[in-house]
Amino acid sequence: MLEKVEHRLITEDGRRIDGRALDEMRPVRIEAGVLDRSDGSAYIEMGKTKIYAAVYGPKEAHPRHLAQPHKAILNCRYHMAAFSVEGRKAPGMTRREIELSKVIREALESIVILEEFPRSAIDIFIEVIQADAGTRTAGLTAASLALADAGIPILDLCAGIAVGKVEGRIVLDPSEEEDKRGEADMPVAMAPRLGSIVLLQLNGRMTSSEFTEALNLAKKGIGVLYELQRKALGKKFATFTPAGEE
Amino acid sequence: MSIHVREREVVTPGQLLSDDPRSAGAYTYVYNGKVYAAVAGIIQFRDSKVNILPAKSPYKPSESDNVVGIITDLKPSHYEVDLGWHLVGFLHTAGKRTRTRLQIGDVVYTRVKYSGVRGVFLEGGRELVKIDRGLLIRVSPVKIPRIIGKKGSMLQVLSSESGCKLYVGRNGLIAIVGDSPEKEFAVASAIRMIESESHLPGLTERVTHHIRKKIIGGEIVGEG
Repeated sequence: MLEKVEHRLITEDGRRIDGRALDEMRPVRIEAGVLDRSDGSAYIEMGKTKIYAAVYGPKEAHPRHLAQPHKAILNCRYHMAAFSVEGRKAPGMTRREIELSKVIREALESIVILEEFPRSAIDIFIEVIQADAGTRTAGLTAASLALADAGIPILDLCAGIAVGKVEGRIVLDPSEEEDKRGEADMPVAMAPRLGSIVLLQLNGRMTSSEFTEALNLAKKGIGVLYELQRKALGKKFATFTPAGEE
Repeated sequence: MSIHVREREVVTPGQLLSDDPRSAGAYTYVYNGKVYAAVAGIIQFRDSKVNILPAKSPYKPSESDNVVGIITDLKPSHYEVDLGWHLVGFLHTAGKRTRTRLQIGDVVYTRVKYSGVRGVFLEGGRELVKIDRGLLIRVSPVKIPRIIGKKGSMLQVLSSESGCKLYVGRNGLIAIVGDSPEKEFAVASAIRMIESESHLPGLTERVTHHIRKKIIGGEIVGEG
């Protein structure tokens, strides 16, 4: 006789299925300047999520009528590779990818100093190599680093992370399993130095106190990511001495 | 304490540099009366301003910059000049007598007259030099000051050692005009060397040595 056993996402002692504490992020790796052919690039790994971001430009805006006389325009493409998910994903742009491209673009528009490059366009490509939840925030984190790597003036780097509600508890950086079976998922991205939230979405339900708790937890995670971004950018300067000296 | 950074310190975008908005220099921005970094780079104080020297940056034209461009279009009242990357410069066709006729594909060396919301306007007339032969190479615009050197010292070395004439554009295009391709290629490889080894000391001597070796080697072995 088979017995139905309930599979819990959080154990009695407050551990998650992958052994993390509730406020613990997955292991993160961030690198800047990883691709030679683009003007700026970055790579991020958050647990099993792996994403490349590349920046081209500023260059001529096409089609011409889209160009703004007083500022640059941003083109953003968030795309998941066909092999990034379980079972093959159709390689075209899905409805979801088009929407995420838009929210990421809008987040980046608030940090890039677009007025520096009138009548031009900056292209941003975010390619998800392997997806395991939190790709929009990780993609945004990589994209802002790629912009900084390209030398495009920005007000601040921005970093993002998701917070979720799983079995009534608020958790940081939910994994795919927690995202699917949890009650809520809230990606948050901030420009920490400016103290502004550049992206916030909420899927599911939270009480106002849970929301506050989730937001504070996200801020903590963003702080960690921000330091890693700065470190990745600083690493490039180890051998660099500015021009015009001697 | 109004300045928060030291000379040659590495900064990242968004980093607080100074509390005094008057000290805002290159690649910085002012927000709520404070100065922040807009790019990643190294701090350099100059003229009581905090400047950042970026590792990489797109070219932003400013007035009286010397530039090298390629004519891309002929319009009734002006020429359009490609300055590399996103930039298109306008060159007005003034009086017919003073001007050399230009064709699509011609390379010109001139000065930026105006740069702003209306676009980039280039100096025509006597300032304009039409380059009709030689080698055109592209480098990162942030490396240009290093190629010119202090008061043009590096440029002096490059041209006197090789006998080539160099037209260096702030936009990153460099035209090398010499009397033989070997000499032009020698200068081009020396510029590549400056680009990659700009952080190492004793560069001038190595550049001199490099050009001599290339030119002499080229003539004896018969390279190129």
